[in-house]
Amino acid sequence: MLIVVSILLILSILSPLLYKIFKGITNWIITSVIITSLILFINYGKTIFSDDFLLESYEWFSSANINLEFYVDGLGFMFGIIVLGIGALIVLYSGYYLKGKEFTGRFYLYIVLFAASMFGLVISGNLIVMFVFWELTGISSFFLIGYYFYKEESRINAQQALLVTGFGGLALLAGFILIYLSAGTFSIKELLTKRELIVFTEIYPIILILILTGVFTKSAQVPFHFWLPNAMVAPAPISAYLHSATMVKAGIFLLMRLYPVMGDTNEWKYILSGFGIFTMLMGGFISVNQTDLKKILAYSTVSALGLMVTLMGISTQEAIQAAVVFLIAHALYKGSLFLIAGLVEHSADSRDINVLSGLYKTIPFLGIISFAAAASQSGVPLFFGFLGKELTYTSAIDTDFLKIFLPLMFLMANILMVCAALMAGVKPFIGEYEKEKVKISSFKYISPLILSFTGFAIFFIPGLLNNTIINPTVNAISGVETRIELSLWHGFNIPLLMSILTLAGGYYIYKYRNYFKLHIEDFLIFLTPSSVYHSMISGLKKIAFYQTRILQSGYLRNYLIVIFSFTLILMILPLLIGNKLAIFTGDLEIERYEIFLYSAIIISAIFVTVTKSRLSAIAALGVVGFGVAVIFIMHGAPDIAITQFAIEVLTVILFVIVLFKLPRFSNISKRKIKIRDTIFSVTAGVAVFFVLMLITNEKMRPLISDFYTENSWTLANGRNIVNVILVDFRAIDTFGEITVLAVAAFGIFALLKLTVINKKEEHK
Amino acid sequence: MYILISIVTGALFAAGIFMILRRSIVKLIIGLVLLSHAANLLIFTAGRMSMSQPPIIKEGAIFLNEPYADPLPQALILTAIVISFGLTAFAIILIKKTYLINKTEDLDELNTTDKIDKIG
Repeated sequence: MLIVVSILLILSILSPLLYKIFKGITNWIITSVIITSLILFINYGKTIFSDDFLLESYEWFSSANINLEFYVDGLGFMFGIIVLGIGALIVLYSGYYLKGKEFTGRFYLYIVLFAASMFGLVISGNLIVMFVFWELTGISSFFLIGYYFYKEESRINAQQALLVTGFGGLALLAGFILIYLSAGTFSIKELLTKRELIVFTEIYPIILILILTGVFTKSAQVPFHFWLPNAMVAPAPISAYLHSATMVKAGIFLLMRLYPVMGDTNEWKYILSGFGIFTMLMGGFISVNQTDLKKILAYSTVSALGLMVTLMGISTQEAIQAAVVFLIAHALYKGSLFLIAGLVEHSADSRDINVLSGLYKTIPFLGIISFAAAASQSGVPLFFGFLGKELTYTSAIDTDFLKIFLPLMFLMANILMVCAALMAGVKPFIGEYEKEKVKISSFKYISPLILSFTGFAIFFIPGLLNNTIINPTVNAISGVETRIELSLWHGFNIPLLMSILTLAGGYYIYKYRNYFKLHIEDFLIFLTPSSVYHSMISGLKKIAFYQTRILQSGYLRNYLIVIFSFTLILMILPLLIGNKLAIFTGDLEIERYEIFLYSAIIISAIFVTVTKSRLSAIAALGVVGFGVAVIFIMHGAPDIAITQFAIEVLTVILFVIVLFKLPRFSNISKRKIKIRDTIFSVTAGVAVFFVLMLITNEKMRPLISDFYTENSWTLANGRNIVNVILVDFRAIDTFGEITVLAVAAFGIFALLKLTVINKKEEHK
Repeated sequence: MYILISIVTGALFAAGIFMILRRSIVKLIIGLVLLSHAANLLIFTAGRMSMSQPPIIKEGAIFLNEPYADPLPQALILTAIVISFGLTAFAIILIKKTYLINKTEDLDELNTTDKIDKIG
């Protein structure tokens, strides 16, 4: 398994390079590599059929119980084949679709990265591994939706998809962690046997809501559906692959994967069918009110996803089977319809179904392919979609859950789906002939042709498909070993009657759709959190703006006051809380000679702050510096004192040299501000005083210094220990210091050489 | 002996902070210089002072005999003094250049890079 994922990931990284070398035939190369990995994957099928599953495990973060595990059973097998099989066809098609477009190499990188991550997602055997792949699909989807990145609409919609599904991804991660806390494992294989540890815990509803948030955002359920139609700004093959055939089904996949662990409870049934029914009806209604080819398909995809969620909510063996069959059928016909829409747009320069008509006369072959796909979506007998629809009806009738209501909802959703199929798959090809004959390269037909007619062909071999794909999948989902026969003809019964009703109803609505203009979008605007999303985004920007304006005022004083205030609070709080001042016993003895020196320093420091003359300020500053140096001399630190003297002299000289280039001291601050600053700085000074008194109150044993005093002569042959520390023990630090000085010197040199044209002057 | 030097340190901090809160850029540098003196004294005092001999091993001796001044804070301060000189020198030249180019010493007029005009 790992090898298949690795092949795809490497292929993804290499594909821009491949495009540089092979140009126009790159798609064939990538497609053949994907088909090779598909064959490799199918090869594992033997093991899966004999043992029911295949487990591959590599050590990863074993301390956190996270291993790189792959777990493939019937479900993973089916999804893996869909992902790689359709992926190969999509890449092939893309090569012709994107001919002459820029950034094709990048496109291949993203799409193969997506294929790799989607494939990894469906075969992952560990929740964390699954989460990583889940997020990777979202990221590659972001890049693919924003493929035409120079258009603002693309960027906005890509960001929207990323934020919405990313939000769901976070909820999903939280849900996974809660599952781990309840069941003690991330491993899917182990989780499958630990249902009672999750379903019967108090936090089960929380886990369910978190997981379903992830599912509903990814699989575009109301109220998170709005990103999917907006994602249609992506190129047609992306809409076909990510936004109808595979990625949006990741949510459905997760429902199926976790069904044995947390499905079939009352919460599960009602939440899923509630949201599912609402989504499939709303998606259906909106789709028949669209005129844009891709928007019709997008909303009918939303509707189909709602239908699958509802089926998973019913939680019977029959419903699961219906969901699986419908999922396969939908992947085939919807993928095909999107690809056809791309070709229609290319040849007729429009996606508006009111403009498109009579294309059958110019591109008849595409018409036939399109009719086949539309027939499958409508559920016309002899097409695979028919089976999906029959099973849907049967499962709705056979269950006691939401009796009568459920079949009626399905009937309504399916009628709308037929109408959408007629609008998107049939309408553009029939009617008046308008356009010149357009030549479409025959290669472009390959992918939609295969997708459409696979749906037609497998109708005749349901036994083979049932044994290899559908039954193992259903068994893997439900955990119950049963065989349901998949027959083409169930006889004259209620489902068949409903199917006929569906087709008739769909055609009726299609025919009179202009009278059915429900303006449902206006009505649903309250329910669509698209507006909520937009107000959240603009609200976030506003908050960012205001907090930036407050924090980034542009006034240095404000920044400094904030920094000093927090430091002061950190200094003063411990003093107050611990009542540390009470234990102060320290010596208060004062030597007479100290008083003169110290008062000289203090007076000079105060003089610096009040004087109006620059020269006297600098002179007073010198007094402070020399005073400090004298303190060092008196307390056994001649080295620092000498350094201080030297530096002080240099500083004063430097100041005096540039003094006359510097502005005079001016009193800019207001009196109020000055008083505030005085209070503030005196408080800081007092705090420092207390802290220092407390520090010196304790005796200190200089542990580190002992090392230096003992080894200075013996190891380093130096008698002046301060010097030895600087040039021997900590020589590298001193080297760093020299570097800093050198950099400062270079900086000063550069500044002196710098001549800047005064922009202010020019403006004046 | 600690009480007086603590007062001196506190006073230098107060003066330094007051000066760097001024709007004049020249006062800002003077504040920085005062603050670096204050910080050096803080480290020096916190490392304990003594009126004793400097940390220099006598001719013929192998170890330092007590009492001696702690050499470690001294080494730290020595480094700090030199670095703060580098900083001061750079700041003086930078401010001189800034003044010559912008023709203002008011820091409040030097805030254009942080100004936001509109949302977005």
